[in-house]
Amino acid sequence: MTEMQTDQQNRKQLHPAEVLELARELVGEDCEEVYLDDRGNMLIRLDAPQLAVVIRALRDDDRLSYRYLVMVTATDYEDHMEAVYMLRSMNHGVPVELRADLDRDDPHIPSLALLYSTACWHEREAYDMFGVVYDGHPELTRILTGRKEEMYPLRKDARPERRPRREWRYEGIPAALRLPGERDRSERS
Amino acid sequence: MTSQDQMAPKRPYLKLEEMILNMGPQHPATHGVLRLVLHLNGEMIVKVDPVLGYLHRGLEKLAENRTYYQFLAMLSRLDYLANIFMEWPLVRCIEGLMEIEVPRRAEYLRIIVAELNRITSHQMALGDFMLNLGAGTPMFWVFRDRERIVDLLELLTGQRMMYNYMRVGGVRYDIPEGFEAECRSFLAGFPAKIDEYEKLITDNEIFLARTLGVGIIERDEAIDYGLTGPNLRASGVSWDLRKDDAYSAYNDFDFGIPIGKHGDCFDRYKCRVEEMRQSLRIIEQALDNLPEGPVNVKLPPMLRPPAGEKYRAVEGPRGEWGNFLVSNGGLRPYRLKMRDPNFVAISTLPRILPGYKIADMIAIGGSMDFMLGGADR
Repeated sequence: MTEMQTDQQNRKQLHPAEVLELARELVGEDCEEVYLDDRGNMLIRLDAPQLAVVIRALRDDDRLSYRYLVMVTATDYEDHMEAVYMLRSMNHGVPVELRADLDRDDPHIPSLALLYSTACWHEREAYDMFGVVYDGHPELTRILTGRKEEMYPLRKDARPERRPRREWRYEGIPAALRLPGERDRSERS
Repeated sequence: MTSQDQMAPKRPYLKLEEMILNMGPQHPATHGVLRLVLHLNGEMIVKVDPVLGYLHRGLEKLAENRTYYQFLAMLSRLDYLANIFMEWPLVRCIEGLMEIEVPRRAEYLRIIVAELNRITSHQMALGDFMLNLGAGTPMFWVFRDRERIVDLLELLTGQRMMYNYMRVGGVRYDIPEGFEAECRSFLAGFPAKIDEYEKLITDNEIFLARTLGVGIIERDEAIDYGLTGPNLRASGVSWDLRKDDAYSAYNDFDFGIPIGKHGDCFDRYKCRVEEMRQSLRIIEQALDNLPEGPVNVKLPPMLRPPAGEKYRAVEGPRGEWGNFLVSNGGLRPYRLKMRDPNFVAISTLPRILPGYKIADMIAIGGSMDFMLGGADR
C-alpha cells in the first residue's frame, strides 16, 4: 500500500530571490512591502482589507502555489494589533509570512475561510484569544475558552487571574428538567 | 396504480428523527477530553460538532509570565507523548533570534532523542488505535517494547516522560557510559518486534475490514485542511519538514518518507509503521557518525533574545509543530503562538465523519492519532 520515497520528486527548487521576484510582480501593487529576511523567508506587509485578494493571488499562482496555510494568529502590541499569517508552498521551500496592522479597539480583517478550510478553526482561535473579527467567517464563536468567557485572554490588558472565583454550589435539578414526580434533590437531608 | 406497486410489501410507517449524542468528554476513544456532538440518523452520522477546550491551560498566556528556561520545563506537558518535539521549536526560535550556532554533536543528540521519541509516540498511536478497534493484545506488546525505549531515554535525559532535555545552544547532558551499547542492542532487536506487530495487525481480516477504504481524505482536501505528518503523507503527499525544511542536521541522514496512496485509515496506520523503521535507520546512522565535541554552548543563565519575531517548526510524529515567538528583548517572551497539528487534525472531523457509522468514527479517530493535550494547549 505504501511506497517509499527517498528524494523529492517533481519539486522544482525555486531560489528565494526568484520567489520574491514572482511575488512582487503578482501582488506588489496591493502590498506595502514584499521582502526577504536573512534566512530566505518572504515577508509581506499589507493593509487589512487587501488580505483576501493578495492571498488568493498567492494561492492560485501556478509557480508560487501557496496552498498550505500553516497558522493564523495575532499579536497585541498594546497600541495596535497585528494579524499574522504563515503560508507554505509544496512547490518550493520559501514560506511566506503576512502581517497586517489592526485597530486595537475594533479589529476587523477579511476571513480566509472560503480560501482555506483550515482557516476556519485558526480564525476562531484568534477571535477567542484576541477578539479579532474575521469578516465573512461562517461561524465565529469561541473555541478553546468557554461560551461564557467575557475577556480576550491573550490581550495584554487581560488579567485572567483577577477574575472573581465562582463558588460551585449544587442547586438541584432545574424545575423544567425534573421528571414527573421527581423531587428537587437539593432539599434532601 | 401499477402492478409493481401492488407487489411491493407494505411497510409500517417509520418515523425517522435526528438524535443528538454527546460522545465524550470522558470517552476512552477520544484520546483525552474531546467532546463530539454527534447528530445521528440511526447509526449514521449526519453532522459532527467537536467541542474543545476541556484541557485548555492557557500555556500561551503562561509563557508571557515566565522566563525562557522556566517555560521550557512546562512545554512537555502539552503533547505528553511527543515531549521532545514540544521543546525543540521554541529552542530553535530563541537560537534563531540570538544567532547561536549549535554544536554538531548536540544536533545529533537531539536527533537521536527525537527519533526515539517518535518511535514511542507511533507505538502508542498503534496500541491506542488497536485498543479502540477492540484488540487488546497490541497495546501490551507495544508497552513491552516501549519500556526499553523509555529506559534508553531515561539514561540519556534523566526522565522517563517529561524530558526537559533541550537547551538553547545544545542539549542538557552528553550521552552517558553504556548508552551506545544499550541503544545498539535495542536497534538490533526492534525490527523483529515491528514485524511482530505487522504480523498481528496488518493481515488481520477484521482490521482490514474496518480500515480499508474508511475515512478517506483526498490529496487536495488534506492540503486544504492543512494536515501534516503521517495524516498528510497517507493521502499521497510527499511532505516532510525533515526533508523539505532540512532543519537541524537531517541533511546528513539517508532515510525515506513513506507515503500512502488512498488516504484511508489503513494507509495512515501503515505510514506510521514504516516511519518507525525509518527512525531506526536515522538513529543507527547518528550513532555511527556521532561527532566529537561539546554538547552545549556557554550562555548566560538569563536569556535575553534581541527584539524580533521568528517562526520555527519541527516535524513531530503528528505533524508540523511550530512556534511563533515575538521577543521585545526582555527576559520573557512577549508573545508565543504554538501551532499544533492535533488542533488541525480535529478540525477535519466535521468534514470526514458525516456518512460513516459510529463504529467507523472510532476507527477514523484512532487512525488520525490526535492528542488533546496539544490541541487545547
